[in-house]
Amino acid sequence: MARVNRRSFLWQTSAGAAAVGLLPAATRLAAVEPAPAAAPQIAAEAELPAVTLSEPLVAVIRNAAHGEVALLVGTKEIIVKDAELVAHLVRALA
Amino acid sequence: MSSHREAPEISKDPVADNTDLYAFVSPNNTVTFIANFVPLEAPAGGPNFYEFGDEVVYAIHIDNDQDAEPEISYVFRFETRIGNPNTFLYNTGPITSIGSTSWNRKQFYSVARTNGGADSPGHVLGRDLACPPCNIGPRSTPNYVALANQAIHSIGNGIQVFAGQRAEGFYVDLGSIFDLGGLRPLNMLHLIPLATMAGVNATKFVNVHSIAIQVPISQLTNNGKLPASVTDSNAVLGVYAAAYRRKVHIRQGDSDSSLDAGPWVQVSRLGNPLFNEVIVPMAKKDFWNAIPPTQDNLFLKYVQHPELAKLIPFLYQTGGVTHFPNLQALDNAGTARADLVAILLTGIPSGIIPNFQNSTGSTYADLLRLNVAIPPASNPNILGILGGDLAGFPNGRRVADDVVTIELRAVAGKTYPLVHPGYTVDAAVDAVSDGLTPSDLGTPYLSSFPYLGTPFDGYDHPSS
Repeated sequence: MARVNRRSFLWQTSAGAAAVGLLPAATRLAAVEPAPAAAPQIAAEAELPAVTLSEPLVAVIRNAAHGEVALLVGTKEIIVKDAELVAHLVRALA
Repeated sequence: MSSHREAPEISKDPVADNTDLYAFVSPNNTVTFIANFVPLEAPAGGPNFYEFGDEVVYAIHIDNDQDAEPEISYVFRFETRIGNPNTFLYNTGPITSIGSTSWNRKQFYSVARTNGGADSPGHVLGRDLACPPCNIGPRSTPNYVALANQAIHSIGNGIQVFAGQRAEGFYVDLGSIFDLGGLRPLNMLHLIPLATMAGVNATKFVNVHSIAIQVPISQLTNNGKLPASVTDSNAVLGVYAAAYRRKVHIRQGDSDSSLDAGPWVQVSRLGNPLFNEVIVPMAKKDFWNAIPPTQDNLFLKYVQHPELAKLIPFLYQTGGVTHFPNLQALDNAGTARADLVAILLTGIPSGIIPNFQNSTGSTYADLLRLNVAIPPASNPNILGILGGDLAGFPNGRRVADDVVTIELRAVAGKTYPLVHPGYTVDAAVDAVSDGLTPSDLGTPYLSSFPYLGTPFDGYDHPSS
């Protein structure tokens, strides 16, 4: 399994959520995905807390209406409720 | 088939498709477990010959305290290593040893023993264990038997393991059975009669990938001892095999950058042969593959009232008169088949068959149940217990056991007198068979570990 840094984590997190949770929007994904080296990406990275992940994290929106997100990392899966996060991701696909 | 491509979803995932499970007492107070995967391998299927899945975890689970949950699991993980990435060839010259540099795509594996479960903490028993190559042909694998023998590993404490290609050991006349339940030896009795003929084995000249492990009995029983008698509660092991994949897999253009995440989820399992194949309705087969045996009470009604028990009297009739009138009456009365429940879901308790029991308690669970106090038979009968041989299926399962005939006859009513002695078995039941024996496989079993025969090579069997 490839190790990730914070930049790739950010990309994989958003791509994972979009690809797994919102498949119908996949064709629009390329248009909104920032390039890894683009300025907005760097700014977003700077705001991240000092989190270290040894494996990719995949977020799956299980139920957008309830703000329910499954976070999968390593062999763990946790379910969180975060309506704001879901709304943010959905807006990114608009 | 036993469990080859038995459910819609797993039929699309061959490397995780558990096709057969064997468990039997072997010499020197050991038990041999064999779990087969990758169904119906055509021997000439190159250049990407068959192998285990690096992203799959394989496990053989053992319940030894009668709760249908595993106390012991042997967990196998594989890794493929490519020698030369610049060739399309599986091998660039004869493979004369399993370390040969001319073999370009090798597989290695680890085996761990856990306290039950594929993802539980465990103790690694062996790592970097080499698989043999597939059997290619006389130029590439000129001495395959020697190659395979090099892949039998002793990993300490009297344990042997082998993982790699073997000749298919399960025999069945699929071509006839899936043509409206036809049994060629009984063709003239069928609703749509055809000329009676001998059975034709559909698995002749195909290979499979086997995971085999032989373990001393004392390392398997709950009290760590050889059982004192057949009735010793420590004597019975409940066994099932399973395969697991990560919950999420994301493709990103090439296999090196694909992404797996999340818990291991069960995608295939197998206890008794033909359970998911014949007992479970099609719409529930994928679900059955995903749940543990402890939830098999959900499928109790299908064992009590198997669809096949309705079909047999209907399909085998002449002039509107069935050849299985007593089975038909049993079914029409809505009788729950307690005999099949015992054989498949709870084990057979003491007092039913003299000098025998393989009960694992009251939990309904599809487990292959083996009483390890019963030694190997000196004169085995492929009909197992139906043939008077207590060392055979459904007391575990040996490689040669004719599980198709045994289960067909059981469903047809042969075993119902075990729970209802007044029942008269239909005369036609003893003729129920697809008419095959191990001689129809095209190659013999081995007399020692790993027991399944030398795989067929593609040069000599190009059109299997």
